Amino acid sequence: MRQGSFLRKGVAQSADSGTRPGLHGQTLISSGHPDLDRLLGGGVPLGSLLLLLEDGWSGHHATLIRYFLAEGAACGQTLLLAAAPTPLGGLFKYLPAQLRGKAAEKDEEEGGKEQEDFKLRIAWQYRRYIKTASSRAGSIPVSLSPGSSPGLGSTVGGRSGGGQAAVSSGGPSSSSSSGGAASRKPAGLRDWCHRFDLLRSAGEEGLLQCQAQLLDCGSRRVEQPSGDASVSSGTQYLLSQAAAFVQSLAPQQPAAAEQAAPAAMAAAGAGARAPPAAAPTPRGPQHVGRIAVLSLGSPGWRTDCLAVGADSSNPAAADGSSWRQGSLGGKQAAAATAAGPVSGAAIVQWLLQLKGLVRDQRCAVVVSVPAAQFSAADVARMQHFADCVVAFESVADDSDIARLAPDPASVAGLLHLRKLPSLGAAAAPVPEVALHLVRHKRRRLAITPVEIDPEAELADAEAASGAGKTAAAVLCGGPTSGGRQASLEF
Amino acid sequence: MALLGLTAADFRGTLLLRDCLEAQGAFLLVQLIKAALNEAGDGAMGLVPPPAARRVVLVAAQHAASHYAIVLRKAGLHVPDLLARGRLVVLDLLSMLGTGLLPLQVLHQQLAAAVAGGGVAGSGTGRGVCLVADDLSALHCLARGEEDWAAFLHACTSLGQGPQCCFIGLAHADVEADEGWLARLEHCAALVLDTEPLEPGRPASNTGRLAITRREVSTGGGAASSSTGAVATPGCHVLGYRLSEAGPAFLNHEQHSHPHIL
Repeated sequence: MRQGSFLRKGVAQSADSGTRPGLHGQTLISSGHPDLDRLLGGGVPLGSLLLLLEDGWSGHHATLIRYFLAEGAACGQTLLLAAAPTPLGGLFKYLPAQLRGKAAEKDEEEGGKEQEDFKLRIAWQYRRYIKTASSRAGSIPVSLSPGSSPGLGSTVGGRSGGGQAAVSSGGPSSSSSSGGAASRKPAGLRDWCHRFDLLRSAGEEGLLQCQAQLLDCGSRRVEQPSGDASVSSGTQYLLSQAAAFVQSLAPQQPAAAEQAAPAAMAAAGAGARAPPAAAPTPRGPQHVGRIAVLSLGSPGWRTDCLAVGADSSNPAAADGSSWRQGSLGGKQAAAATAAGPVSGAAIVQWLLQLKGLVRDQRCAVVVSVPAAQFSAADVARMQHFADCVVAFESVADDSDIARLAPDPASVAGLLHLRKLPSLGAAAAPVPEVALHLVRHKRRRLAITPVEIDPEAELADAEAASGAGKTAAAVLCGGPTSGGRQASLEF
Repeated sequence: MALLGLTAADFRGTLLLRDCLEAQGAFLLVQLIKAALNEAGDGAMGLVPPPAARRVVLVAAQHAASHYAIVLRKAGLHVPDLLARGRLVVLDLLSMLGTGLLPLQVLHQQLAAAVAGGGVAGSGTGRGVCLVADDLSALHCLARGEEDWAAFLHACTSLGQGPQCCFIGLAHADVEADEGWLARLEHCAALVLDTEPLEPGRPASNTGRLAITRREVSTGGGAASSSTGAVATPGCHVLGYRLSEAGPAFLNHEQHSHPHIL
């Protein structure tokens, strides 16, 4: 007699390459960036929408999208990049090259060293006296995983996300050439994603094992059966292509699709791990999709909204630029008055549609939006409707946070982690640390928690006061460096 | 909902949940749905025969139906049984949006059919209905104008005025453009729940703060009020809450005499 709702489903299916199980029944894919994976609690859940809010001054959003797509390419997954205009040179030049061999090991060690530094940020003054794990002969290298390291997981990752299962499901790097590092270290976050070199392009060989699609979502002319032409907006075109993309990942009969929602509801409520489908879910990395949308709503996405009865003999009307000609009449003039930048409300609606499109599918979406182009209300709505929100902020070179941070030359911006994915979670996880530093390394981007270098702070205080005290004098109240006796230091 | 001090009598009229990005209030929806479905198990209601089972119609626009199935199961509800008996009806609006934008009028028709029973076995009329909207800000994006949206809100709030009926709506207070209709909704709400982040920083014991504003006098327990004598007066309770996978825990009660002082 069955006492509960738990149903044994037999031997669990192994996860596809490039995926791993997460909490709350989620299936995670790596974002391609180990630091971002750790911030998100292990990776990006399939069926979720990650929103990147651009700051208008830096290209960190594009870098994260490059990482996201490159990781999918390395795993053999199916990719879709939508942009307006598309990157020069196509995906071959846009995606970073994968690091292999010793270069990957070195990159991994650099990342591990940064995390070691972070663990010691409180005892900054005493770091020199503590041997790092890697410097001790015969010691076991420390593996940094989102849940295995209490200090790291409780500080960096989300509260719920900090306990993500650090299970390597035969991930990509175990089969890659960076297996040397994987053999020395236990399975953890550092083994989760591949390593990439931002200075080199992937080239054709980098996309050999995956299917990639590049969409130009500028205005386009669509011939109607009636003979008229319509200018389809970039968002409409992208939505139709995204629907076809998701459909291609798991072909499903229309009748089965109509029954999927209540069946999924009942199955999930009964405790099943996955919703039942009419046909078995196809396995393999090629059935896992990644959609990336670059700068949605930027000026390249203009000519939203139009359905014009264009004059086919007028080529200017065909490319959507006829409003500049000043020679329109009738329907064209009416359509031209409707042309303009994509409104924030349209972007919000589109995000909702895309979210509904990929939900419960083996696909994840990353969308970057130029937040400065939209009203605060629209940006707030976008953040609420997205599953996960990361915002970038530029910092000036002479700002306090850039001046007082250790290694200020590498500081390239701030990252705000505003929302974590909560699919299947009873309570939305709250980021423990919301503010992070974006640092430019030589071949990669690093995301580190904000920390203040005490020595820089003291030097700054000295410069401000002009007392010329040493750090020891300030800390301990001792004599100043000039040798003058301080009468009442204590 | 004993921890929140809510009784079955509070599930009438309009219940407004307002949250913000830093303190999301979706967890309260699950608790309220559970309370609406299990109101017979409330302490005050246990003294008298339970009323007819209330039905819950959930409009899922922020999350998919599969998400609610998981979280309701975690909350202790047997979702397949509730679905089969028609006590829980889920309109998976998010999945519908994947195939195209749904006009608000069509949604209203579907809601009306779901509230009326929709032909589901065992979902006869004569029982109370609790309409839960997650979330109103997403539904507002489907409106073709303010008149369209005002009509939809009026239909929802009118439903809550029926006997043993209520309307629970989640909205985001940090969307400045929505302040107008949110103020109107607050005006007709009997109960307003606000989740706010703790400033500055966040202690380990608390995730956020929950302000419960009761705007009308409610007799605790409805029919049981004569026996218990519990009367909830207008006022504002401020609680701290801590979120965990086991569910929310509410802490350190404070009470203000005036409803609008938070």
